[in-house]
Amino acid sequence: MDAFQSELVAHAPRLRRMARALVRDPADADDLTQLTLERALLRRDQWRPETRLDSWMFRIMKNAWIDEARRRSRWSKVTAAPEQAETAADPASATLDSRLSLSAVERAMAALPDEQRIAVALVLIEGLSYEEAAAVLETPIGTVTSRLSRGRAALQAALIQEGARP
Amino acid sequence: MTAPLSFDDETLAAYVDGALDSATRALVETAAGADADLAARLKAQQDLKALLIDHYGRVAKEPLPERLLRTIRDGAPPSAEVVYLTAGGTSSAKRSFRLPVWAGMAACLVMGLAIGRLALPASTGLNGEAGEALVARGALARALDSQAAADSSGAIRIGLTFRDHDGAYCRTFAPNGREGLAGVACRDANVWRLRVASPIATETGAAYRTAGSETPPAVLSAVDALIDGAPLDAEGERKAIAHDWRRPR
Repeated sequence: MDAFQSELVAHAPRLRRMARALVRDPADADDLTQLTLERALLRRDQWRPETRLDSWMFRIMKNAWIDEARRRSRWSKVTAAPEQAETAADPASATLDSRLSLSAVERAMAALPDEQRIAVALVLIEGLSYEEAAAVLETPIGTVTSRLSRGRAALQAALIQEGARP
Repeated sequence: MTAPLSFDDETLAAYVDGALDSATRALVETAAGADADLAARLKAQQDLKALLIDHYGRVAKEPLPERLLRTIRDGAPPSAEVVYLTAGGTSSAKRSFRLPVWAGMAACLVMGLAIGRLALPASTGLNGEAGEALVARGALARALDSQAAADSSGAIRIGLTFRDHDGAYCRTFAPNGREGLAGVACRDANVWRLRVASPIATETGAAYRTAGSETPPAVLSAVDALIDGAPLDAEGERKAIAHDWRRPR
């Protein structure tokens, strides 16, 4: 294993954590982590060593996560009969009901809109600064902070409702 | 007496996130010391963050699953049917893909299958000179140039049209019949260079086919790896054709 691969091994636990915050199902989350690692290895010459590897990996994961959601609807559009194409909806919604064992935290996270969930994951869980999160998300900082605000408020409300918090 | 300072939740959150300058930070701390209501709101923000860190922190402490370790150790996607047909030549030296070690071998295998055994229609005219990316010719080039995804009348179907990370247009294609070569080609100057190609299976080669889809997994993976943003819709496709695939400014 070369130095880059060793770095990936060191970062992989955080990638898994990030994936779990984005995707509820543990196996799906590891799939996302694996896809992220594969892409990072394919594109390793695009990483500039003077930049943070974790931010670069998180950006790859974000794109992989978005692509995966698109891909599911996209390929069902390509391969489905035309009259079925419009029903190719967000794949996440189909699995919402089947996750009965989720903790209150995971349920609250899962209920957030994607862009709020990823902002919360990057800043609150992964500890990135607003600037770093904005770079990963490729959005202005103001967008990150407003998504964080809405995400936090929604999480607070959901957790209080769940009785997980006083 | 000055009126008690009030802080909105965004400022309290920024405090918890360590995003305040030291002066504002001190102000928040002083105000929270004197205002129980503010202190409770601050604590709620801190508790939320602690709850998330605690909950998801367990995942980061788990040992790395073997398959992830293997992915890193192997250094490339395990799917051996993925063949990136990038050239060794100068024009694509800056391509974003590293060519896996086995790719040359696999390329020979796939192209051997495609040209030899599966026998593409001669009119498709793939050109496989050593050391150069394969350039689409003939019917394939014509379909890539001008055929809309909705048009299924010809020998070749066009699937998705999208742009790659370099901004080049790429299109997926597949034979309209039961066998032949499916793949992804990207526009480079005035030609379409094949980035990946994979045989469409007949019944005897069903390993290549996934349920409900005749698109080989190699092509699906390649699109995933190449695509930047969303694929073009019918209108975007029409415009790109009309502009002869020149990259928009």
